[in-house]
Amino acid sequence: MIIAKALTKKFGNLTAVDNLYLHVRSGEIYSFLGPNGAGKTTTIRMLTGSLSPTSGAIEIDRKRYEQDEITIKRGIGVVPDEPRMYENLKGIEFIEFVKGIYHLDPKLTDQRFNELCAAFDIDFLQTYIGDYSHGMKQKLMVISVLMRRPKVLFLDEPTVGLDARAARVLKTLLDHFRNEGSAILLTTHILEIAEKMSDRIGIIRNGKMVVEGSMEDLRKIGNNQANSLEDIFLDLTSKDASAG
Amino acid sequence: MTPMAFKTMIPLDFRLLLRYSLKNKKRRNKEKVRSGPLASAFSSWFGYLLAPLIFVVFLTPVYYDLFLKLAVPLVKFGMNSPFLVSDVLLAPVFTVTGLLFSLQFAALLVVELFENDMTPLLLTMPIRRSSIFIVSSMNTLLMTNFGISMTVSISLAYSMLNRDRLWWGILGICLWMLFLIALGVLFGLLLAKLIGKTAAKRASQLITFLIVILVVISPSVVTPVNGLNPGSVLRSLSGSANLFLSSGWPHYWLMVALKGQLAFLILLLAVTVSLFTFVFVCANTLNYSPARKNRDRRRVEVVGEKSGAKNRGSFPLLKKELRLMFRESGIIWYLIYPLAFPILLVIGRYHQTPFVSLLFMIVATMYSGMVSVTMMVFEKRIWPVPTYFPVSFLSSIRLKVFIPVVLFVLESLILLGLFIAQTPSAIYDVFMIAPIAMILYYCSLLGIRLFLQDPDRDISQRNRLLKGSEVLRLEAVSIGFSVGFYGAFYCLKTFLIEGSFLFFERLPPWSVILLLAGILIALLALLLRSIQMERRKIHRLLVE
Repeated sequence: MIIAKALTKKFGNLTAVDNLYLHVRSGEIYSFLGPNGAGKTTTIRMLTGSLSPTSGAIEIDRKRYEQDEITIKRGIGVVPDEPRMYENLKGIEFIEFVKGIYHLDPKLTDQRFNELCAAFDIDFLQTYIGDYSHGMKQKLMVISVLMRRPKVLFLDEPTVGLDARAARVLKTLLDHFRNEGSAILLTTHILEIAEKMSDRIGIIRNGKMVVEGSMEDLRKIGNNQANSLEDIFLDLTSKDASAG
Repeated sequence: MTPMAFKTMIPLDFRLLLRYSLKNKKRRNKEKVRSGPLASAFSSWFGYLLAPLIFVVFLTPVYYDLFLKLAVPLVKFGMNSPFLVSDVLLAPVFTVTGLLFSLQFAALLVVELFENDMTPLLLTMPIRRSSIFIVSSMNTLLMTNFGISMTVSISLAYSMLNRDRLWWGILGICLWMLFLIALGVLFGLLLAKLIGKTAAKRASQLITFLIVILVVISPSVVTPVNGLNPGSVLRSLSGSANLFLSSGWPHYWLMVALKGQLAFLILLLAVTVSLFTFVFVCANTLNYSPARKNRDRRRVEVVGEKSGAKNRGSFPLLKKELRLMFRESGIIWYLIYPLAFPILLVIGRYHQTPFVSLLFMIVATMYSGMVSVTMMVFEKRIWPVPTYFPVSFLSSIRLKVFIPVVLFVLESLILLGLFIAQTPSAIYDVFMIAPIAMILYYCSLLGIRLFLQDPDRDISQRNRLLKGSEVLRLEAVSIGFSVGFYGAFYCLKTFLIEGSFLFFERLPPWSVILLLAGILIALLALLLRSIQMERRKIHRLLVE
């Protein structure tokens, strides 16, 4: 569903993403981890079509941005690292905008939307987004994506700002989406989430993929004494740092 | 007092805050070789102060002329008073304009205090609240430019009456402005304690409109007053004379000070200093929590069927743009002003139709660029989210260009209807609609292109979205094309209706028509070419 081949992004002399290969299958949650500035968000921005790669190829659901940009964007869901929305719109107006722009069928969407509102305890849609807290914005952003039931999901730090209950609901829903066949790529600094939820994990540092595989694979690659993902992550990234 | 001693009098936190706030206002300029930071700051200030400056230049002679004609001592009418008839007229004007300026300043200050992203962080630092308040008020002053222009032009015209005391006049104006600022800061302090961000925004918008109407309508009021003799003016104002010329009013102190009683200038200074001191002390108790008024209202809606009841609408992009547009006070101002100003001029019969038409063209074309730029800011604020939507960004940009063009063309049609009702020969101006639409289109494209050219631009300050040089460029294009088109068209129309005039009398009629039509065609060709180029540039910038 999500394929990146030799993906590279350069900003002047800085290579933010360097020859990255990635493959996220249907019905799979792939956690994309790395220290700050490793290139996670840049990769997601390229995969979601908001940043052009310097070189390399991207395929989303067997389509390429060069030919089918709008079709791809209609089929994917993106929760960015910061929930930025039009602050002078009310929550309900933003949802209405999303419904219109994605050509959603109201009959199908409205029920889902109401369920999501109830699940995430959203009762502030009649006020302006500018007056929301970070958590409220994040909830609105999350439901605006999930109500569409996209087949491909990109989530950049989706639990930041969410309260414990909302974070639990989100994790349950992601699980449910995976079971229904969605391909999910998520980044998080909460390694526990990645460890518990992911089918596969990729660790990136300085724009390069350091290691990729299931938890079992990572345990084999890492230090034998490292049991948790946190240990493996610290071990691999510090090794890489010292080598670099 | 040495500069060092003076420096130590000002608290360190205030100095640092002011310094870094000013640094923050300076734009990041990669090419600092050509223009220094000071030149850049000046050009930026000049760009934004150009419109109010034009008003000062435009209004001051009007007021001066009026005051001069009414500069008849009241003694001549048997009143035992050192004042002139013009003073009787001016006293309430000073009060109203001063009060409006202070109120506008106060409301804008509250918005700045609650909207500034840095305020929550600054409140966690060992900085006095009063320092944050005063620095915010200094940042706000630039935004009150129309209030300043009205107050300055009236004060300037009044001080010009006493030319032998011009320096005292200038000092008096400066002190008067400082007093009004102190008053505004005091109102701001009270408002910040009483109202929230949204209410302050609405208040500032309302007061700004009041000021604009006052700025626009005052020449229309002045003209009929000008035609009257001082005696009749005095008779009509005799009721207010006693009220507004009593010694308790600060404007009274200014007026008598400008007539030579300098003790009143000292009194004005003393009151100003006292006000500032009071505000400085009280500002330390201010609560800066911007969302405090909204919190209670948040949890009032019904979740469930009702919240999802709104079905998917058609034209989501258009709806979104219109909603955002009409909730942005800056855009409302840009839309209302080009129409309201000419209408009020026409109603007041102060100016001839051609002048008003040209004025509309210049202001509307310039503002269509500014509207497009402000609409771009909506996207920039949430970047890169707009790129995730399944629509090309180019189509979103197209809307941002076309919406202001359509709205301003509608305005020009309304104005044309008004002109035709007044002067039937204005029907020929219908031929100007197409060029106006094209200039509007070009200015919108130019605004968008200038905005896109610097993707890292600072959008935190609403009144400085474009750099000074960019604003000047937009103004030059708008004025150049408007004057060129309307000048040539007006000459051609006059020539065809009324016959030869001025130096055209020396030329054969066919050559005059050829010359003027040629100018129009050449301008049209230039405009079309410029539009093509801008479109190409925008496309290139988006691809990059």
